[in-house]
Amino acid sequence: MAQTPAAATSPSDSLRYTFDFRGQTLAAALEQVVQATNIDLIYAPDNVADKTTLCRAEEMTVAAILTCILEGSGLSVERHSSGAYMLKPAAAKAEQRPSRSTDIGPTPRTRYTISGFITDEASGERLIGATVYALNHKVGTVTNSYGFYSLTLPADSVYLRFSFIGFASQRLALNLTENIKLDLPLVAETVGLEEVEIVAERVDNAVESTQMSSIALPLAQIKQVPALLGEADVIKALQLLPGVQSGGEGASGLYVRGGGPDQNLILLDGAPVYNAHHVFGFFSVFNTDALQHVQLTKGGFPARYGGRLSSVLDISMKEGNLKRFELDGAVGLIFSKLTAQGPLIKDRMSFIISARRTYIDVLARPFLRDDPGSEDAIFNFGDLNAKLNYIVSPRSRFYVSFYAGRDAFGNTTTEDFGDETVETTHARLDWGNRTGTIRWNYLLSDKLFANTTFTYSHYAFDIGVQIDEQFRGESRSTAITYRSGIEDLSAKIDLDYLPTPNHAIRFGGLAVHHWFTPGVGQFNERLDDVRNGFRFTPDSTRFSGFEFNGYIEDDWRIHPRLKANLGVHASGMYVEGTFYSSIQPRLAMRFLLRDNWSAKASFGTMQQYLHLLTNAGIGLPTDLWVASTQRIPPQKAWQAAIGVTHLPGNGQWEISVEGYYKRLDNLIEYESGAAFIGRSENWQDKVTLGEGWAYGAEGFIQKKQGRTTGWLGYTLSWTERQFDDLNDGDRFPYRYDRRHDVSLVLTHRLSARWDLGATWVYGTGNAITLATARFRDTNDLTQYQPSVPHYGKRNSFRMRPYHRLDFSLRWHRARHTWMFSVYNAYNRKNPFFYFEGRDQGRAVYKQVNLFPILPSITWSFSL
Amino acid sequence: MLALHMKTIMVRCLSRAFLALLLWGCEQTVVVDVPPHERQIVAKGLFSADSLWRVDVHSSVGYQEDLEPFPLLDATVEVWEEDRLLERLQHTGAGRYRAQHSRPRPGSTYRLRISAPEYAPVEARATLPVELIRPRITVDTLRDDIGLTRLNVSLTLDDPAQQANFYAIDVLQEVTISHDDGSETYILSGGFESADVILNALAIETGPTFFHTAYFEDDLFDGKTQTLSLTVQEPFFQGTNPDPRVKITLRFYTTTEAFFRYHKTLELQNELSDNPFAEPIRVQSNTSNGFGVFAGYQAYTIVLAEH
Repeated sequence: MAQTPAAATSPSDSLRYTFDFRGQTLAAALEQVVQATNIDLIYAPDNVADKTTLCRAEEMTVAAILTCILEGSGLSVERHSSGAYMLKPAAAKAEQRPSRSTDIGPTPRTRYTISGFITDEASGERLIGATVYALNHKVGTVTNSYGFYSLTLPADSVYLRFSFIGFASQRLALNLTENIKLDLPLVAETVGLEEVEIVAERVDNAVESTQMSSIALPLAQIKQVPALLGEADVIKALQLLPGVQSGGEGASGLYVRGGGPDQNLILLDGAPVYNAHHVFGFFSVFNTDALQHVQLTKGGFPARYGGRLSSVLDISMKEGNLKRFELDGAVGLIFSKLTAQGPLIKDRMSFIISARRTYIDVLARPFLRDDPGSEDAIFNFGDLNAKLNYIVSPRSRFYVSFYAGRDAFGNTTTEDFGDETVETTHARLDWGNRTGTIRWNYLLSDKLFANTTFTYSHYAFDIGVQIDEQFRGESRSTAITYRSGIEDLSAKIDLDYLPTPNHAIRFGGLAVHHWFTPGVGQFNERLDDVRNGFRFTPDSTRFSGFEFNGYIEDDWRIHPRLKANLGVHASGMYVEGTFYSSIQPRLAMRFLLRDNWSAKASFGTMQQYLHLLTNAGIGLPTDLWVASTQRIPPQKAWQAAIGVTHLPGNGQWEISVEGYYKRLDNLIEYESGAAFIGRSENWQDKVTLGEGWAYGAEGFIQKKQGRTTGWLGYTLSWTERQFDDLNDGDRFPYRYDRRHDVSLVLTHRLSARWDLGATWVYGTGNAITLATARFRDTNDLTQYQPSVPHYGKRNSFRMRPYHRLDFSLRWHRARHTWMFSVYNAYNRKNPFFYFEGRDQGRAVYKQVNLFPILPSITWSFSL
Repeated sequence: MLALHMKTIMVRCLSRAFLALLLWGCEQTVVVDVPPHERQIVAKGLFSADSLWRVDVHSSVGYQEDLEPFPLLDATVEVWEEDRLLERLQHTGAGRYRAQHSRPRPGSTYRLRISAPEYAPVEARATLPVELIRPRITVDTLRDDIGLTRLNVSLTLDDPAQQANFYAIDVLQEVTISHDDGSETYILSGGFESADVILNALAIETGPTFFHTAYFEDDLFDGKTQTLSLTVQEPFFQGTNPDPRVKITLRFYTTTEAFFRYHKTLELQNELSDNPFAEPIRVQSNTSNGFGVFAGYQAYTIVLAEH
């Protein structure tokens, strides 16, 4: 195929193409034309079925090529005012009315609804965020979180395009004379060297939608991003987006637009996940093999979202293949995983179960053997996802899903003191999440969709130390355990009402019962056979709270160029005799500047009734979840953002720039020196209240199609905090205040079997507090004069900048994939933390680096 | 000791976890671009009614300077009561400045002014507490099979209401060893253990904690009678003949907020020094333009054991 630019009145007319379709089916020939020219082509598949063409076109325009292809087929081509080409039976041509999007059908005021579910043809899974667009009306919609769409249009002919990332678009011409129920399966693209590939699709059309600051990252793309030790990680991939930062080297924490890690609502099938990390944050708890959809919203929150200040990360698990049994697995350096899915009743009921387990303990064992006294070290973590999906009827569907993950660390040491005393110490540190969801989708009418969800979520960490002493035949055992956690049970209903293409109304409500255990310590002692024990945190035992919310929003197409999302979110929390409530207005607007340009603005207030007490700031499992109380009010924030989005190159590129300003209030921090574990004191005595500011700009350039795809993200930001009891009451930079943050993500298809991936990240160093001077504290009694460091203003210094380059090379065949990746390719010694040390007797700062260049290899299979 | 185990084990457990993950992790010395430190006067002047004024004066140094903090030998150290100069203290060596005749009086407020060539002058104000709280103390002596003696001390104090009160406790061991040429007396900080939440409300560890000196405030028992429990381990001597004379004394201090804040933040800074992720603690000072502390206290002393 060759193309030659020529002067003409429109892009498709200005190009000439050469094709040889001789002997091909009409469908195949037309698809080639669409792929090569990017035109919108509408036709009824039945009209082209079983027909072939003898067309050979040289240096011809699109219109001429289509005419050539259709010769003898009984079809003709027409150009619609929207620019689309439409194929119609030649006999019908004379009857056609002029195609005016505002004047279609014999009774323009009669409207009918087309509704249904869009699914993956191969697995039967519903597709979230698929686009349904009526080309001749220039209106469209996207499927909701359960694959449902509804579009109400005037009667008469309608030309629909159904599209979804990674799937071949389908075009349908319908005569709309009654309400139509249309469930449509889409076929996944067979990706070839020249074929279209789309990455990181905006939630729906980036220009068309009112939603800003939101992105859906395809799992296929997440799996292609080079990963630490070869383990694809959802949260680390999201950290590559502008406005989203990691806490530091290897960390899986999310810091979105100056917010803390507790200000992200992380939902797995609607159930909150309170600690999304394995191994102190180096890996997230989400097994990419079990996931279907990942969407991050970092601002411009529609009214349906609430309960957190900074972001909502909505993750859906796969539903299970309704068509056939599949077994997938992977063996990597650190994890192995296995996923099984398939129909229990074909096209009615399916399951998926996916398990992942690390063998880092096996790898580490040789190193630990060198440690004297260490007998039995435990390091392991893993998780399990499972889901059951049952289609009761075309209108009704049930899902039951479950997640459990656990990290276990510990060791046993024995010391023989040589005086007939032997002491054995068992220490352990365990933590993990469990979530469960029961969900019922029900189609109340063609325009009203209901989703009812019941969720359970539990997170706990548990530290224990037991010391067994043997002394001259007597035995004594003492043990301390310390537990903390949070447990939720919730019921939720969401309704989507789509009365006309100009309104998409959502409303619903949520009720959650929280149980908090911010810290319970237990001391037990056994002397020979006599036991006694006591709980040493009587003021911090389990208590509960009740949280609820309700919302209503309307995505309103006010004018072809102006669209607004108006909504209100109301919430409340009752805990231990204290009641807090909040009315949170939400507004987002989009104005179409030109066809491929839009300007957007949003404003919203948020309230959060949960706080995370952390003194490490790196997402340790020992962080405590606590509720607002009479003394500790809820966290509050408001955020305003403006932005411009442009889709040049016929949608091949997306460029967006956004600016934001966020104000946070009632943030909590530990007072100086306070820590997670204490005795009998209330955590409220240890914290101080303050406020925060975050503002900045984000740029995003994405190439969505072609052999080379990827994006460049840049964030310029400022984040500050102020607490009356910290830093002399002065404002100080947040630890993760990052002036510049750059992410470059590229994937390149080398051939049908080989892909190359690369990421490069750069970030200003974290803000830290360092000693600026030393003095001595004299003590008359002991004569000991310790050197005392004097610390300057809080977070007034910066670690060295962080930057890193990762590569991956992927080889794949039908059932096997080998992924070779290199983390930190140029071996940058990035700082993990600084500490004060001594070098030849002199006080110095030392930097601890974590990961040098780390190659890895992962083998994946599919049966 | 369980508390010490807890901390040690936790650190070991966490550090091993990191080790397992970060097989190749390493550390390196880095040069941090810290602005040059302008040296400042460091003053430590703790005073009570039964002693002459005394202040230790030395210089701070930049954190990365290849130099240790050094005494200031040519400082001018003055104690003022309102606008009246009470006394200019005399340098007695190694940065120690002592009064010749004047003593603090309870309830009076004093100003400390220190100047030295090439240093910004510093100033601090402090009041000697009026009240001397005398706790009621009972002692149970327990001796175990192998001859170790433990003193279980119960200390009850009546906290004055409607005011913030600050206290400290330490234990001294005065050991006199006789030999052919006479005897030698050593005064040591004996320390004690306590599991009382009043004494270690912010401690990281659980279980009994060992203290050289415990600093605490009355925010958890304001205006109430409070009993504290602590355990003192007597020194154990093996093979000495004759046995040394031992006198164990408990000192109970009624202090001021400046005294408490300085010592408490110093203690917390030390406790958290092993945790690279914790926010560092700045030692609080009541001296303007300098470091250190100028604060008064009243001490009540009681002998717990003597034999």
